[in-house]
Order: sequence, then C-alpha cells, then structure tokens
Amino acid sequence: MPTPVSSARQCLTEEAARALDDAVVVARRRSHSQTTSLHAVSALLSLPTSTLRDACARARSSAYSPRLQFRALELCVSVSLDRLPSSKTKTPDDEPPVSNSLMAAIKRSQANQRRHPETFHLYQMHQQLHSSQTTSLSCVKVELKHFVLSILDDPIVSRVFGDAGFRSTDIKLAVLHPPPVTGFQKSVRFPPLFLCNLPDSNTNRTGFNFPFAVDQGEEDFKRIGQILNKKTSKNPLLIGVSSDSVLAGFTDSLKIGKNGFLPTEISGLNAIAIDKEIREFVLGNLSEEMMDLKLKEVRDKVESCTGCGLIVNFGELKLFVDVGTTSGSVEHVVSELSGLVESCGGKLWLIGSVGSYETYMKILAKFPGLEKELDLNLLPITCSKLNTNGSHLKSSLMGSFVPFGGFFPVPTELENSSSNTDQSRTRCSLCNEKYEHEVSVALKRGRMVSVADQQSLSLTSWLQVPESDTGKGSNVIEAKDHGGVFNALVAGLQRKWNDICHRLHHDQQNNSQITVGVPFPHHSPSDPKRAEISGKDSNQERFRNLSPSDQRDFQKTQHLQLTVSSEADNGLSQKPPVDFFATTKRASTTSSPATSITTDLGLGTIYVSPDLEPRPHDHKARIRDLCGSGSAEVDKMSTKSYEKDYKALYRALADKVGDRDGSIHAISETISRCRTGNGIRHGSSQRQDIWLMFSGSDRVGKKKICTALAEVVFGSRESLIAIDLNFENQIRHPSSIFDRQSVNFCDLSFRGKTITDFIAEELSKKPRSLILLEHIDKADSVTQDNLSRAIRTGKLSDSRGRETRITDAIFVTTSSSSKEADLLSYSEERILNAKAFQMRILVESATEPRSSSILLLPTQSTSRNPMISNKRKLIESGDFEIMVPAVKKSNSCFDLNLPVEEAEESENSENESVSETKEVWLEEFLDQVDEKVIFDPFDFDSKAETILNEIGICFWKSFGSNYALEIENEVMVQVLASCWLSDRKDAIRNWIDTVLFMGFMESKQKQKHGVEIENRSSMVKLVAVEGVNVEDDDGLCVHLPSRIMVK
Amino acid sequence: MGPTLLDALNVRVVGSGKKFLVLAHGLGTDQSVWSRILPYFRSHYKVILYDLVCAGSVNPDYFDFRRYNSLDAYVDDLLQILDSLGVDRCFYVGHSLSSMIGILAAIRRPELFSKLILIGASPRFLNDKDYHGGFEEGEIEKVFLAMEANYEAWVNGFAPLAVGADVPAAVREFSRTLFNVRPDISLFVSRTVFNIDLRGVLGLVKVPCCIIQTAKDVSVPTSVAMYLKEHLGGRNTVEMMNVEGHLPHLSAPALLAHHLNRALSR
Repeated sequence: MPTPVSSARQCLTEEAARALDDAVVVARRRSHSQTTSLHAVSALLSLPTSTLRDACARARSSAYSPRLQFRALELCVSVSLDRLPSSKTKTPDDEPPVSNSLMAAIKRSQANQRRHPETFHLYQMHQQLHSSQTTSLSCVKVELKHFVLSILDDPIVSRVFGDAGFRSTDIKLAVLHPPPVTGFQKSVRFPPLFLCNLPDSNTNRTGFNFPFAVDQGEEDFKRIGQILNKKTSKNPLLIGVSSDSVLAGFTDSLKIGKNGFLPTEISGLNAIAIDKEIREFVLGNLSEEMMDLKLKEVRDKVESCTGCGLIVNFGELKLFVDVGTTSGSVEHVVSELSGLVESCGGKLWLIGSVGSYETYMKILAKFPGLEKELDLNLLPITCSKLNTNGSHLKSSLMGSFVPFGGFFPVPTELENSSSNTDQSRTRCSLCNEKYEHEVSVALKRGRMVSVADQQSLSLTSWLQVPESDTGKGSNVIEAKDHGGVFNALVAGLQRKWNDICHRLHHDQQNNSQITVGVPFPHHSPSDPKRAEISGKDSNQERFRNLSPSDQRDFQKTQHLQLTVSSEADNGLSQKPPVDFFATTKRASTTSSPATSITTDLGLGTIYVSPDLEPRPHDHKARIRDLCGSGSAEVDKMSTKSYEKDYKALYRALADKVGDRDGSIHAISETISRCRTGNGIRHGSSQRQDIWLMFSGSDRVGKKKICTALAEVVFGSRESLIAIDLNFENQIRHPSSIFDRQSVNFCDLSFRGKTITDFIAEELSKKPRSLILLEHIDKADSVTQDNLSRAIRTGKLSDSRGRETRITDAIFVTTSSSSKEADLLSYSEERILNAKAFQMRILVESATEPRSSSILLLPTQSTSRNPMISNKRKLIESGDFEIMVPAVKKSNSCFDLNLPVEEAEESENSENESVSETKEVWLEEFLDQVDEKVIFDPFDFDSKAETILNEIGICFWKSFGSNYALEIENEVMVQVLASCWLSDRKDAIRNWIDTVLFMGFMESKQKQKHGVEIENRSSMVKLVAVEGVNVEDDDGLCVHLPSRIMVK
Repeated sequence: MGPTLLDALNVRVVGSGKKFLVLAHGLGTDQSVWSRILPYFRSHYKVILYDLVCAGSVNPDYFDFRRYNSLDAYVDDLLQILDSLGVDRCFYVGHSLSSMIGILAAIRRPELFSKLILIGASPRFLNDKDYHGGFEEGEIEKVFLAMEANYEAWVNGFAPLAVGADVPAAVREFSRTLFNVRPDISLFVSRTVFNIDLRGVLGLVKVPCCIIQTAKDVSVPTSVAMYLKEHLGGRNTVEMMNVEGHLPHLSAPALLAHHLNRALSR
C-alpha cells in the first residue's frame, strides 16, 4: 500500500520534504501512479545546488568527460522513468502517493539516523521542538543527506547509476564525506577513519581522492616500489602464478609515466624491457651479437640516464630451465645480467618474474649464486588477475543491506524449552480420550477425582502413583479454583496426559503387555489405609499425619511389592525393570521431581502451570518433616530396603550377564547403597546420581554390564548412552566389529556439540539414563572440567552455560588398562581390531603357511615341518595337534603420517606435562566416584583353545584325519570377538556345528566332483574375505557369516 | 587520538599459558566463531583473538576498498597486531581466508611462527589445467551474481551448505556472522579471495604446517589438502577430520579441539 504524500512528508526535515515535493511533481507530470525513488533521483538531480549532483561530480569516473557522463545519467534516469507504468485513472490534481520502496528508504534513513551518534543531538533538538506535536509515524526527521543515501540504496536507483557509469557506493561516500570547500553544513570533520590512517599504522596516506578506482595491481606495484628503494637486494623477482601479468602491468604503467606508487626517491625511474630479446636469444633465434648489442644499449642508456635510473625487465625466468643447457645461451644471459648489476650498480635495477617456487628452485639448482649475483628479492604475488574493469563494485547489493544485521536470534533458553516440549510425543487415542474427558470435567468445575488417578491404578507398580500422592486430583481442581486460569489448567492436563501416555503406552508397546503378565499386588481402593489416606486434602499434611508405624507399614508394602516383582522377573523373558527408584525413594522419602511421573504427580501443581520448575524445597521440607517424626524407623527401613534392593539387583544382573560375579556384586552393592541415600557424596542432599568406575580390561564385559544395568534399573537398553572419549578412535574401519559399539566424535549426533553438550542434551531428554564414558583417561580438558563439576554439584553445564540436572542418572566411566599380559596369544588389543568379514574355505596344495595362522595337523601326519612348529605353541588335542603361532611383541605403532624426526623433538616435554595433568585430574576424579570396580581380563586363550578343539572335531567329522587345516589369524580373531560379544554361551559352538560344518562338507563335495587331487600334502584353509562385510543381524552368531563361501 | 589497530580489530588476549596461540577466523565469521574452541586452550596458551577487517564486528568504515584488495594488507594487519602485542613467536591457527593470510605472513616473517595450522585452506579456489581447486570460473560469477541480487537469500542458502544442514545451531551462528558483514564488503572480499593464487609461493613457507581438512568441504576438495602438503616448503602434516563442513569449529568443536591439540603438541 502506498503511503500518502502528507504522511511521508512528516518524516522529513524541511529540506528533504522539499525534495520529496519535487519528486511528487515529477511523478505527477508524468502521470505516474506512485512516487518512486527514481522520481526522487530525477528531482534531486535537477536542482541546481543539488547534494546528489555534487556528489556525482566528485564520484564520477575520470575516464569520461563530466558533461558526457551527466548527460548519460539524465538519459538513463528518463529512460527508466519512461518505463514506469502510468496511472490509469488520471486525476492530475492528486499527488501520486509515495511508493513502498521509497517509503522503505525513508524508514531506513530514519533508523540509520537514529543510530548515528553525530546526529543524535539534532534528533534530540527535534524532540524538544516537536514534543507538542508528535507525529504518528516517527519523531525522527530525516535529513536530506540521509534521505539521499537511502535512496541510493534502492536497487533500481543504483542500477540506473550503474548504467550511466557511476557506482552508487562512490556516490554514497561522496555524499557522506563532502569536500572541505563546501563546508556549509558541518565544517569541522575528522578525516574518515580507515586503518591506513590510524595513528599506529605505518602506511602514510593522506585523505582520499575520488574516484575510488580499485586497481588490484596497485598494492603490488607499491610493494615493488618498496623493494626498489632498498639498499641491498633491491631487484624484485615476482613469484607467483600471475607474476608475469603484474610485471607487465608494472612496466607498462612506468612507460606511460604513471608512477604514483613509487617512493619519491626513485619516482623518475625509466623502464626498458629486454625480455623479448632474451627469449629469442635463448631459443636460438637471435644471434649473440644482437643480444650483446641490446645489452650494450642498456648500458648506454644507464650511463646517459639523467633521472634516478633505469629498470630492466628480464621477463619470466621459467625460460631458463625450459631450454636445454647445451647452447650455453642461458649461462651467457645470466653472466651478462650479473655483469650489468655489478658495473652499473646504483643506477640500474632488474625486475623479473617466475611462476612458481618449484621453478625457482630448479633455476637455483642450475645457478646457485643467482640470487646473490643479481641481487634479487623475492616478492610473492598472490592475486591471480588484474581485475581492472571494476564491475565488482556494483552496489545494487547495498539495496538489500539491512543495517540490523545483528538481529539474528541467538539460541536461548526459551528455544531449548520449546524444543523440549516438541519431544513430548502425541498421545495415543486412549489417552487422548481420557484427556478430553478430563478437560470437560475441568470445564464443569466439578470436584471429581482425576481420571488419571484411576488410570494409575491399573499401572504396573513401577509406574504407579504412590498413595501418598493420590490426592492430587483434588489439588488440581483446587489450584484451578484458586488460580483461575483455565488455559493453564488445560495445558497442564495436556502435559500430564502426554506424559502418562508416553510412560505407560509407549512402554507397553515395547514390553508387550507386561501389565497383564505380572501379578503385581496393587493397592486396591479397598485397602483401608489407602481409603483413609485418600480422604485427606494435601500430600504434605497427610504425610505429616501419618504415625511412624503407619509409615513403616506403608514402606513394608512397598518392599513386598519389590520382592514379588523381582521374583516374578525370573520367570519371564521380557520383564519390567525393578523399580529401585520408586522404592528407595519412598524409603528415604527423597525424590527428584524431574525423574518420574510419580513425583511429578506428587507435586500436585506441576501440570497446572506450564512454566513450573521442580521445587526441591518442598521435598526437603517433606523430608525434614518425616525425619523428625521417625528417623529411627526410616533408617531401619532403609537398611532393610537396601538389602532387598541389593539382592534383587544382583539377581537381575547375574541373570543377564552371568559369569562376572565379583563385579556384579560390587556394582549392585554400590547402586543399592547410593539409592538408599548412603552414597559417599550425597549426605543430606537428595542426589541420586551414581558414579562408577570400571577399570581393568574386558571392554566388552563392561559394556555388557552397563547394558544390563540400563535394562534393569531404567527399563530399557535404550537408556544406555555409550560415548567413547578416546579421540584416537575416531577413524573407523567400516568393517570393524568394535567400532560400531559406541558413539564417537564423528557420529552425526555429535554435530555441532561438545561431549558435554551431547550428554546434557540426552539427559534432558531422558533424565533416567546410564551414561557410559569409555576411556575416561583420554577425556579432553573441557570435558574433564565439566565432569568434575558434575560429580561435585549434580549438575552438568554445557558449552552455552546451561545446566542440566543429572541426579537421576548413573555414570559409568571406564579406562583401558595398558598393561596387557604379554604372554597371551590373544590380547584384548588384538581382538578389538577384529573385522566382520565374510569367510571362505579353500583347498590348496600345501604351501608354506602364513606365519600368523593357526595350524591343525593330523597327529599321524608325517609332513611335520620343523620350521613351522618352531614358531608355534603346540596344543595336543585328540586327533590333531593345534599349533598356535607364538606371540611377537609389538607394542609400538607408528603413525605413518608423522615425519619421523618430529618424534624426538623437544616439544615432547609439553606433551608429557599435559598427560601428567590428565593423570592428576583422573586421580582427583576417581576419588569422588562412588565405587571402583576392577574387571578381570577376558580369558581369550582358553576360549581360543576350546574353540579350536571344537573346530578340530568338526573338521575331523567332515574331512577325516588326512587333511591339515590352516586357519587364518583374522578368522580366529573374528571368531573370538564374536564369542566375546555374544550373549549366549553356546552361540559359537552352534555356529561351528552348523555353518562351519556345512562349509567343510560342501568343500569336500566339491573336491570329490572336481579334479581328484587326493594329495597328501594338500591343505584346507579357512580364510577371511577382505572387504566383504558380514551383515549385522545375519546368521547365528554376531559378526560371523551365516554361510561360508567355498572355492 | 583515534582508535588503535588493536581496538579497531577487537584484539583480545585470553588465557594463562606461556605460549601464544593466534586463532584467526575466516571470511563471513568473526572471532566469536572460536568460542567453542577457546575453552580447550585458554589454560595452556595465551590465546590471541582478533577480527579481520572484513568481519561484521568491525566498523565498516575501516574497510578501505583500495587497500584491502589483496591479502597483503591483511597480512600487514596481522603482523602489526603481533608486533604491538610484543609476540616474538606464536602458533597460528587460521581458517579459510586466514589460513592464506597465515601462509603469507609466515613467508614474510618466518621467525614469528613456530607452526601454522591451516583449517579449510586452499591456495587457489579456481580449477586450472592440472589443479583441482573446486570451482569453475563460471560458477563463481554465478555466485557473485546471486550475492549481488539478494544477499540475504544467498546467506540463507549458503550457510547450511557450508556448515552442514544437520547442525541448525551452527548454521544460525554462521548466518548471523555472515549477515553481519556489509554485503558490498562481503562481495568484495569474496572476489579478492577468488582472485588469490598462492600456488607459486607455497614453497617459500618454511614454517611447519598442519593442514586440517574435513572429509567433505564445499569450498575445499580433499585433493587441495594434499596439494598443500606437497607444495608447502616446511615439514607438513595433514589431519583428516572425519566430519563434514567447511566450519568444523562450529559443527564439530570437540573433535577440532582434539585435532588442534594434537597438531600443537607435535
């Protein structure tokens, strides 16, 4: 919508308003429907003492005559005006309203002026003057200068100026910096501050002279000049891809007498080029006499030179290496040139160019003394072309420039919270129904108990709202009655049902109707105590009213619940997690509102107001109340519950992980202890975060226990977040088995985040998680600091300074012990390098087996090679002798990327100090950890022996006892890795009995059908097929092929 | 007295270490781009941060179109900053445009630099006969036209491309700093950058360099990193980062910090 002229005029000072009126006149005369910036330009230019015209005169390109260029400008303006559509309804009396773009320009200049400190006083003056009659649009009156400036920003306008050969940036600068002569506006002006005329800048330039001819070569020329002005090594040799064009430009401008870039001492330098002669001569097209003649001419010129001297351009040096050296012409030129330098010293300069440093090195190899003899000074030339057309300053750009560039929103807390609400999934239809019902109930304002509470009765015990909290329905209504904001209530209900749905139904989907399967004792409404309790008004009061014995009873029921549930666990394949949180929480009555729905509901009001923060104080108050009334009982109870917890947890873990008794014992002991409030660092605070350290080897074992813990304590494997802090592990082999195990730096989920950011984000999504931090000893300093703070305070702050509560998480840190038993054939380190490759069986005539592979030789075999058995460890097993290659110690690994000599540099000392500080930190950190659990190494060797025995039996069953079997080391490592990772104990045996056996049989069949090579010395080989990966979820056994290729 | 160069370019020295570490940002960003990296180094180095004159955070009046038409003026600024801070030796980490500045500064004053770490560096963006810089001249012109036509739209399209669209926070951050640059300056510097050709002079660098290259960078193909390694005159290493994007300090700060640490301690 165009703006009426009158209101536009209100934004302008008198002077500017006059200009606008002129523009309106122009528009009306041409019977245009709107007044645009072009009209304004036309009007501004036609004024005899126009600022714009004046600026144009100073900014115009010197290439054309001023008259011509102004004529061109007028023409361009009128042509573009002609193109504008004329108004259809001719109302010549009306003023054509101001177009949007022109109005935008006015607004821009207003904003600009407001920000401009130098006009601030003017603005204030205006304020005072017009305080009585404040205009509706704004109180800033735009000065003509700013008006002109923002009109020049208009893309249409700058295009018109561009067509006429002006640059609107130049014009703008000219408008901004009026010449001192026409100092009628503000005579006292500092010269504009450019870096070049800052006080500490060493370049000495004085002011500006328009036009702004941007000549990219000029800077280079100046540098050349600086070199020429030196006492020694004053002959520039330009080096760089485009050095020849700079050289040409330099000598050309010297020839036409343009030498403003030279220092005054040598401003009268003359140039002479002998590059063509040299080229011809070197190529053999010019005789030596002619060359000498030319050089003599140079000499004469130098001698007769009246000015400061002569600069000789000898051209591109590349020529010197391109031609063969046989002719000796190059040598001749070089010696002549150095002769020139020597004889004519003070008055002669040389200049040349070379395309690249490599070429220059070649020349130097040929003429080692060249640099000195010719007194050369290398000058890097970095611009590839001399861009002199100037088109790059087309400033239609300015049109789109908004001076409020900094207004992009910085990510804020607000954003975070909104993204959090996004995570709440939508409700399922069932919950939605109930939610709607509840909203309608709320609408009726009936004092009904929330349906959610009824719903909670059918939940499993671990989701159930504790009785102490079931009064919240009335709380909700009460709050509504008191607070009165219905919308907040609805939002609260929405959130509540989202939560309930999320917790209940999503889990149900995962766990396939546990509710039905597990006979949990529910506290039915018929329970007398419950009935009594639910009659009360608020939780706190009710709690306080409980007698100590009541509390004990209450807790007893909880324990009963727990025992039953954990016993029920054993019978089920898919079981609900043991809710240690709920029970222990009740025992110690500490709770953390963010964790579970239980406590959320307990707060009663949390769903009512959407911005409600968890209020720990309430809980503290409650705890204190309770402790006051019967702390002795509580203590007793907590010990009791701890025992129960421990047993349940231990059993659940042992069931999942099996053979790691010691570790499981220690872990479940610690977790139970911490959950019952006896953790070392918790004291009176309500922190429930647990920090464990798993040291020793057996990375997979640690991982397995963590997975089990996540499943048992938090309900699903997905609650485990594993992060590998070892940065060296970032480069992954696509087929590696172990690299897929945890999140690393390169993972996509790490994009744009630090480690702490990532953990914090995951924890804000799912506060009840198990964070596994592998290689804690390799953590970087920032992560270290953050972890230290987290373990101290229970809060994790990310790189933006936001804090996330971690009080419901379990942190497990691990470090890899470096001391591997050297005697083992299969160290953990080797197994960790395992790759999941396809396998293949070959039958070949016996060749020298690879020294790393394992041999299974028939016991009666005669062909025992002493060479082989020497290097191998022998294991007798039934019909075979198993020969395992002896271990070579190889503990150093070289980074091929590293130049060798750097390793022994002194910088190492710093490295050591860094690693030292890491050790100190680790020690301090580990002191605060709840428990350190040491893991025993996985016994790969005995596993290997068992596996080899089984393979031996399998091989004997298929091929009989006449063949020898060679198993490639890679295969063995892969099988061991699979065995390590596998959850089922007999997985490997099954694989051998089926897959491997099938492979052997098939291979034997082929032998029979094919060429009969019933050769004593032929050997069966089991090899890995490099590059062909095994699909992940394929086959009987993890990371082993489900079918073996046979050749 | 006008402002000094140190004020004009917002030079900051932070950290408690003994050695100096310069963190120099690239085109379209300002020193704030290092904010996620800085914590990793402030305890071990005195970190020098500054804004290039073309940064949005510097008063555009300081940008002299005549002076800053080649990299040499930027090099002047850098050297002058180091001199006025009394730095006699430093580690230099430069990103994109600043990596080129670092190369030239190290040619001029090799004694000043113990090591250059170049992130997303390229001696030449345009393709040549036997050189793959990643851009054809025609493409560049199109980019410039797009910048001229609508800077904002160009920023909004370019930022996710450069950073990686999967990191919205980093894209926002880059767009912010990119948009802070006055469009004419941005375009002018871009032209300057695309005119740069350092290939001939790389051999003059004798300071050891570490080239950090991400696996996928819209502005710099991987071959360029190898070209740099071969042609730079000092002892050079290449660190490949297994992430995408031209601005790893925004998109993968933790990982970049590790790489920097490794490069610095070697």
